Amino acid sequence: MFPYRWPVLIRVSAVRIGDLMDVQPFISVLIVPGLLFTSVMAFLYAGMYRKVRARMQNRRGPPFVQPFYDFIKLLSKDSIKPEKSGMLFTWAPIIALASVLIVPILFPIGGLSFAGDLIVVIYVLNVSAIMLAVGGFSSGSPFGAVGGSREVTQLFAYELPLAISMVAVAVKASSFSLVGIAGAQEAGGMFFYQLPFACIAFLSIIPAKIGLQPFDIPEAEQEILGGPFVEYSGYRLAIFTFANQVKYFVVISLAVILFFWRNWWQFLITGFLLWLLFIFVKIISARVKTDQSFVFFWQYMGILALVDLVRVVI
Amino acid sequence: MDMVVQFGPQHLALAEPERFKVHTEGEKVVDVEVAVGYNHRGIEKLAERKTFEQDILLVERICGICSMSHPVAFTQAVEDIAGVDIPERANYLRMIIAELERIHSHLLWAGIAAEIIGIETLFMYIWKDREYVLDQLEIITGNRNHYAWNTIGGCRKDITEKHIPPLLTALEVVERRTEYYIDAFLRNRTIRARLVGTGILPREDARKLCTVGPTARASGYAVDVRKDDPHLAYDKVDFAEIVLGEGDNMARAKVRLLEILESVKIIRQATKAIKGLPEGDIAVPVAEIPPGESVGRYEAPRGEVFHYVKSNGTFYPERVKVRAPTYSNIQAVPTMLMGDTLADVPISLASIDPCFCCTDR
Amino acid sequence: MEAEEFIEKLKELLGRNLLEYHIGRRNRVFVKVKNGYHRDVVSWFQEMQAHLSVISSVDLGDELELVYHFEIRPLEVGLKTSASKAKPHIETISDIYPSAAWYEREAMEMMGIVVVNHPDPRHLFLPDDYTEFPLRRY
Repeated sequence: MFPYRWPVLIRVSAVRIGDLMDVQPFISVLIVPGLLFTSVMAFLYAGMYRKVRARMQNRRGPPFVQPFYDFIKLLSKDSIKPEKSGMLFTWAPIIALASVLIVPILFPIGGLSFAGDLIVVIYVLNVSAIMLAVGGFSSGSPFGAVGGSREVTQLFAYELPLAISMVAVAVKASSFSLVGIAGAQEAGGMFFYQLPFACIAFLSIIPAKIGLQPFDIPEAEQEILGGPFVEYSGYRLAIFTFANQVKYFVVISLAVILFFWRNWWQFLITGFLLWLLFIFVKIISARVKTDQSFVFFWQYMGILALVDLVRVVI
Repeated sequence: MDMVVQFGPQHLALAEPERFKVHTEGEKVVDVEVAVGYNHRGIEKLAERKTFEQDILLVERICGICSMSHPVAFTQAVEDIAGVDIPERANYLRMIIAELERIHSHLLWAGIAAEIIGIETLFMYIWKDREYVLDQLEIITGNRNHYAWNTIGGCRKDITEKHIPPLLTALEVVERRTEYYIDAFLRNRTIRARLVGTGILPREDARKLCTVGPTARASGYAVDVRKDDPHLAYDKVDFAEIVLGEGDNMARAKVRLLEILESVKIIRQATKAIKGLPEGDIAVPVAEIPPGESVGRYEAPRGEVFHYVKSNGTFYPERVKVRAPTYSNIQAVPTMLMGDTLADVPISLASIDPCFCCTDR
Repeated sequence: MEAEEFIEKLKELLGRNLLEYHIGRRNRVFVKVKNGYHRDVVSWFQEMQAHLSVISSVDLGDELELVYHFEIRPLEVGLKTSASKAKPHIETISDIYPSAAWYEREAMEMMGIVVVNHPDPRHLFLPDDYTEFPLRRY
């Protein structure tokens, strides 16, 4: 073929497509900050998690790309569906992944933000958590059911401080969209020192939301054999695990956008630093019980977030 | 919501298979059914077909980490029947290895307890420090578990001058690290949240059910074969019996960790004492075992190990009855679990330091 | 109490029903009582806060024997009682010592002793449908 023709062809095609429709949404959804970027960041966060944890425990740890290898390998394995399980057994991980992948599309780093998208974020993160519970209930195993019920209980527990602190941030920024909140911080400074209590409340629910000690009660490996995950294998487990790993990145990034935003590269760095902080907290903590976590979130963190909401409204 | 959650036979919290059917109302435990027998290998019947010397190897293999417990109890019973007194140096040698085994067993337990309540970092740290003890055991006896240290009439190998300095250095490290772990267990808030006030075994129940070992001592029931029935050289060394009163999981953890420090003290005194005894005088020959019967008791890391041996004058024993400490302690498990939440079940189960292969034999 | 004192007290309690006794080394004492009278002895032990270690079962040929191992500091007492192989009925002590229930279950399944009034005579270690008595000497 004639190589000098190819640039001409490509340039012609790009102009053509760009004339016909707006390419921007496709890039946002599929590449940055959509599917590709999120997947890379999710695997990176998960890899960092395993490596840092190993090094702190006097071990060498797997390579950073191990979660990616695990994902590929799980896809090649048999996925056994228990007899007693229902259709939701397959759909719960898929819906969990789909819902949690929506959130990065709204990030203010080239995403498709719109007014009120903070509400959407809260909603889809809840869907993802509920799908964890649904996966547990539909497994047909008592361990799965116990894990599912624990997840729902924990959802009740941390929903309150989560919602209150997010509303406090939104009221402070006078906007319910992520782009608006980011813009307010670029103009007026980061929110973490202006709304310290809401920041503390939000950061404290992060371990509960993403399943790390001290609040990883639903996925308690040693007690209920992994809770909702107990019957999953093969591609279903791959999707579920990947959904969880994406959740690590998404929830941490949300914390950065809400409280620590300056610009896009500071966003990445702060994200990594915050993630390191949570890995550290996980490493030095045991797992608390459901009733203890309930008391912690409702009484202490709920009041804390409420303080900031009241301060901001008045 | 009434549910029956079955722990075992395969479960991440249990190292060995037994079945615990836990009936819960919501998350609260209302009833526990215990079924044992998944590890039964017919050791007692097998012991009647083997000679007394072969039986030492056999009972050693009842369990992996109780591997000084059963041989010492057995050989003590047989030596009683034969009416021999083993040399003093042999008693000290047995005691040193016994206390080293107690240290590594308690460290193993502490690591497993940390892992079950979710703090796997502490598990990794504790097991790394346990390696120092296992290294010393390997240097002295040749193996990390199953030391083959005993024979009827004494010990098979000696601890010489060159073994002692590295042993004492390793013990210093272990002592320092154990003090750190005691601090970690007592002060880490998340660990305290899980261990304090859960799995309570009242003193009266501990006494009525005749529990043994750290399980009993943590509830205030002071049984310790080392003090009650002095064997080996325990009456010649100075150590404290750790008895606490609360009876919850934290008390059992504290008893075991503090016992590690006492064991270090014992080993130090024992290594000093054997310097004065002639090297090489480690066993007396025992030609035949006359008819008779006796009982050998030994304080294993988990409690009292009990061997009843009856001989009929031949080379083969007439009857060997083995009772491991978990056999008694597992009967206290329903009392411990009742009223607690489901999340406390694995750690309460693990807190009796179960060794189900010893129970079932 | 000392071994001799213990034997004297036992003789007072049982009279002719104490069949034989043997004092061994290191405070080990073995006594044999007639079947049916062991419960009185066990009640007396319970008043002294004795610690039940285990219950062993022995096949003596024509008789099946149960040995109750108690610790009455500083003694280690083995209380024996036996019944004929044809009718091996021995009464339970699990109402006095609750932990005896499991030991008696093991004796029942391994040696074929029938423990009368046992609250829960299921198999303990052996499978539920096992009918032989493994520890008997045939």
